[in-house]
Amino acid sequence: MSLKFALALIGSIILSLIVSPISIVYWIIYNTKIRILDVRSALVDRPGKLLRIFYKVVFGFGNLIAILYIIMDAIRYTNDIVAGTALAAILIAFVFGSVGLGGFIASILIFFLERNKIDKALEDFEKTMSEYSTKPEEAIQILKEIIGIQEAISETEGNQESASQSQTEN
Amino acid sequence: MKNISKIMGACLLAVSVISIYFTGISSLLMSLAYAASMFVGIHFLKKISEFITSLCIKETTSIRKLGGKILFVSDKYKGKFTSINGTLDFYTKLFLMHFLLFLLLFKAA
Repeated sequence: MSLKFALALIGSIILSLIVSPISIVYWIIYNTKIRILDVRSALVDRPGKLLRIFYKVVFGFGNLIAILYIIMDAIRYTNDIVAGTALAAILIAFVFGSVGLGGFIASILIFFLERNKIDKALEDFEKTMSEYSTKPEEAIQILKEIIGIQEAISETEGNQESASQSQTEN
Repeated sequence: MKNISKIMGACLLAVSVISIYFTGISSLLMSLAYAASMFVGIHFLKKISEFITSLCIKETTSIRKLGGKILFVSDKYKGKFTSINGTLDFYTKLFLMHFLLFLLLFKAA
């Protein structure tokens, strides 16, 4: 094993220690029953918008870009498309296999040993957010306004009032 | 949505097992090392997750100040880490996060 490879292995383990707690927050955001209603544009969204954008950009599109970059670099290194692609595929398979199975084993371990703590973290998050939440009646009123029911109701009420006024005048 | 994460998780696991078959024992040993580091990271470095959770709370409260409304939907839409669905959902998130970092690190090496 070369020194660089050993350093990469140690570096990846340290990075894994730092990065893996972020996945808990990401899981909480996707499994919470909290939603944010943007009244101006009438959008209902999950909380943690910045984190979700960061995750999608870096770990979603970033993965694709990294794979393409590695294939291009391997082709340049070998000066042959087939050999370069094969070299890149071996590296990708190596990382994919080790991270994929490692992640699954870690998820199973967390399921058996840590699930209560993660559920509690979700409960705590919702408890904190409940202090800032809108009352259901108010939320229904806002949703009615967004859908247009409230306007229709007020219009019909207004029409009925004007009709009754004209009847009394007559 | 739950079915998608289930299928995605199963596919990821299947491909990773096939990858290990082709790359040999070194990949398998590394997967054990990564599993240990991921578990230790989640178990002991709770401060990081608490810090990011507090950032999310601050972001949400600032949206509320700007005129947004925080709603609670029914329990039907709430996920729980008590089944294979929750595990696979968590697994896909954990995997995507590590794949890019390790790929670039081993490329640099």
